[in-house]
Amino acid sequence: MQITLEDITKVYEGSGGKTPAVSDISLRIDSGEFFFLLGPSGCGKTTLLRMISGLLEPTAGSIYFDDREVSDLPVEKRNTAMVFQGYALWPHMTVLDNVAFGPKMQGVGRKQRHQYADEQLTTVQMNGFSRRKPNQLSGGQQQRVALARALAAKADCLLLDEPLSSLDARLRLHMRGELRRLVKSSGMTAVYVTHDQKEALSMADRIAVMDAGQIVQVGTPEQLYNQPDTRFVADFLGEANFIDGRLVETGPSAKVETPVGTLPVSDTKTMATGTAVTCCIRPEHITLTPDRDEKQSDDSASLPATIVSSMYLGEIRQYTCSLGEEDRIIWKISVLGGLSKKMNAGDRVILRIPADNTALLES
Amino acid sequence: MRSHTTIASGDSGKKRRLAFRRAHIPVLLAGLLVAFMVAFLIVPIMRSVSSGFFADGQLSGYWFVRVITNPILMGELGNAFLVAVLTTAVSLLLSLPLAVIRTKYSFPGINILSILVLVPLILPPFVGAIAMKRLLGQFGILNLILERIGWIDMTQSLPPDWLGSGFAGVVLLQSLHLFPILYLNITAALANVDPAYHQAARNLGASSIKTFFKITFPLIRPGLFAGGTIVFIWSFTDIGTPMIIGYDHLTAVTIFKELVGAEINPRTFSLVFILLSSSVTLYLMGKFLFGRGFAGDSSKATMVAETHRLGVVSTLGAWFLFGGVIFVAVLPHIGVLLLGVADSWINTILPESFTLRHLRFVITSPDTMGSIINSLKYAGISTGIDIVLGSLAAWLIVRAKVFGGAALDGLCMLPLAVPGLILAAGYVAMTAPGTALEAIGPTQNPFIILVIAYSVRRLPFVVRGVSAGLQQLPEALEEAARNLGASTLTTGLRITVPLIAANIIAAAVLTFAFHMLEVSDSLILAQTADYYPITKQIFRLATSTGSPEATSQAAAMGIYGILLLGTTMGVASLLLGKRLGMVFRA
Repeated sequence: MQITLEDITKVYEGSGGKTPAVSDISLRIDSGEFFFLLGPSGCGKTTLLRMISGLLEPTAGSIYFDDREVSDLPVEKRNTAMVFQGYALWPHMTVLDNVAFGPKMQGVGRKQRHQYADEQLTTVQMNGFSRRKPNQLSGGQQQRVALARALAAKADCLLLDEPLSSLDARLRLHMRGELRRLVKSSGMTAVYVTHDQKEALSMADRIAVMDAGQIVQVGTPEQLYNQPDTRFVADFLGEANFIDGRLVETGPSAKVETPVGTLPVSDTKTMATGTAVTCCIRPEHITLTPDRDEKQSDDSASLPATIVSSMYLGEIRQYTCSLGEEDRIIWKISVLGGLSKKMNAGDRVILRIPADNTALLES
Repeated sequence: MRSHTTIASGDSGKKRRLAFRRAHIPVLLAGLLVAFMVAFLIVPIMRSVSSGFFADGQLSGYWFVRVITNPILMGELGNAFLVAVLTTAVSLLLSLPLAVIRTKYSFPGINILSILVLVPLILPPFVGAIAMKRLLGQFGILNLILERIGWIDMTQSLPPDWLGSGFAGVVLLQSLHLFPILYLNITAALANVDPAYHQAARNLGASSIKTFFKITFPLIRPGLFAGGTIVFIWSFTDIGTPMIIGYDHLTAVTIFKELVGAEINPRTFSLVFILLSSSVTLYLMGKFLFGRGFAGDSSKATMVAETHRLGVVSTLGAWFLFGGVIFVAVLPHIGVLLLGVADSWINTILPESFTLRHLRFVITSPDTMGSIINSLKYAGISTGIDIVLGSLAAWLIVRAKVFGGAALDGLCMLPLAVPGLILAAGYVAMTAPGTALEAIGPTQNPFIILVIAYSVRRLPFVVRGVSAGLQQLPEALEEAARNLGASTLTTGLRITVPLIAANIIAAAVLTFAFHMLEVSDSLILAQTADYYPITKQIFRLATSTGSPEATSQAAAMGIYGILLLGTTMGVASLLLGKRLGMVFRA
């Protein structure tokens, strides 16, 4: 089922006047797509999800499920299935009764709905727990039951509100793959709200990045990460080094002149020569080599820099370098596994920046 | 993106109708609730107040001036004020240390002691007063004990009358009866204070005592106020206790005597107005000075409060303190128990012999048994009304967040600030002879007004009890059901009600218990023997001079009352634990 949002606005009227939580959002989520709403807390992503579910009414705008307008349908008639942040499993019902609740509301007979609930519990590997009460389950198990309950509703779409946020870090990592597998195999259109960019990048078909009640950019994880439209998107999806400059040449040998030197770029979008731009370079896209290393290729820039500090992060070592006039620009460079020769603060190095990995943002 | 503009505009009529229906059902229900409260709370008060401002059918301040220039009546108002202040102060002194110990320390027996502290609540103080006279009177048990150990000699001089004018007796009995309400409030308030506040102060170098007065006390002040208000207004307007003790110089007693007297005149209602405006003024002043909460006050505790385990000596000390207070507070109950089963008890410390005669009398005599059945009927119906209206109000305020929710909440809580005596006076005025409602007046068939008076009086307890449950219930649990296709009603019945059942049952049990032993409205509104509830019957027996057995029969009825309320309070306490205090919040 395709979800279409048209000019959706939500304004909260409180004692402090009117606060727009979501302003004028239009969006189309394709049938079967696993779609993410990503943004910092307070950006309106949960508000948007709750408007899709019918738990909130938009102040203006329309919502369509396929060609059917559902803006006026109350929540219980909208046939969406939501996985809540704290799971919202009913503590007075068994796991089985929780999962069978949706079919029960649809008038499915007792035997049939129990059988169906059992099937869903098997799908999430929670068969054998059906007689338990939710508080007798661990966080991860509750998470699976919450998902089973949503899947059992045979809804038109699945809505997930930060479903992994109550789990501890290890389990959260494990559940990412698991959750994506279950959602994709259900074939349902799913909308997932999170503030965790790793979660979004690793699980989504497409992501809408939100900020201050508006969608900033929509795209696949790769598009957003490698070709962000704004500094906000670049920053929110991971660490990035920025440098302002001017596009001096377009075409195959496009270049940007910056205070630290000339950087070759491959994708200049539709920008004209002379445009003021900001270059965005991810720390892991920079190669760091000791000063005397002579190897060099044509399509990358070589910039001299000085190591300021280094931080060990397990799989990578992150160096902070200063470069440019009077070493006033500070960049971060991530090196997988660290360098063969240990670098110390004050060491002179060369930074290599390949053209393919430098994204241009309009300043 | 494809455009749906045409569809949207074509449906705008339907859209508005749907929005209208969804938004207006709660408003409609709120309207019904407001209508109920206005008809049976506001209108009676207005009638009662306005009745004091008419002389010979003309609007006039004549009676009002007569009252406020009358030194006897003003003296009585001063007495009432003093009784209330002292009762509240004594209750606070009794309850605060116990509540602090209860929440801060753990020691063997604390749970049972904490339940026993509530025992004094299970008897209206006027019933205890019957026994207190036996204990502290001139030829009472205390003096007999003192003579036995040789401190006084009754043959030489008249022994002291410990009740004196009765003033001290009234304060003592009311304090011993009411301090558990403060205890519950303070315990609940203390349990709600985030231990991190306390720990932060200690971490910055504040001593334990300083932390209590600078941090804890300001934070529990609203809870303290809530309990204090109930105690203050209760003792300010109580009529049963002073009348049994024989201390009549109080405004409430004068109003009562005039209301049930042969002729009601505007002077009575002028007095009602003065009593009401004093209560409300004091309530508002207290709320302004002490009752305001703090922003962020309702935030959840960041950690579990830890209790310190007491050593052997401290445990004994705590037992002694709890035990002492409980022992003194249940003396009236013990007295009632003994009186109710005493065969002959004259000039001895304990009864000489025991009998079940009085207990049997109560359940066989048509008068007493009839009044028990009446009370069960009144209390049962009013409890039903309270549960329906109170749950509805709580839902409208907490969940539906209906427009004007705060005002609705204030209206539902108003009965706490309005003494039962004044409400009863209002019903008397509304059903006065010659009015359209005469037939349901106190002297004819007061069934309906008794049920309504009971319901209005105790509605706040249900609203508070159910609201507390709703506030603690994550809204997502209800949203999850709606999301899976359950209607508002189905969600309410399958999810909300089962999950807050403990709160609803506890509120119902407490409300029922209070209805069973409702004093002021019963004494005033039931004036025909056929419609007497338990309290009025006890009062009649206790004040009757006809039969020498009457006092014992009153005490025997008291025993049934104690059994009934003891059981219900125990059930409520088991269901709610520390949260029991939430029910008593203003």
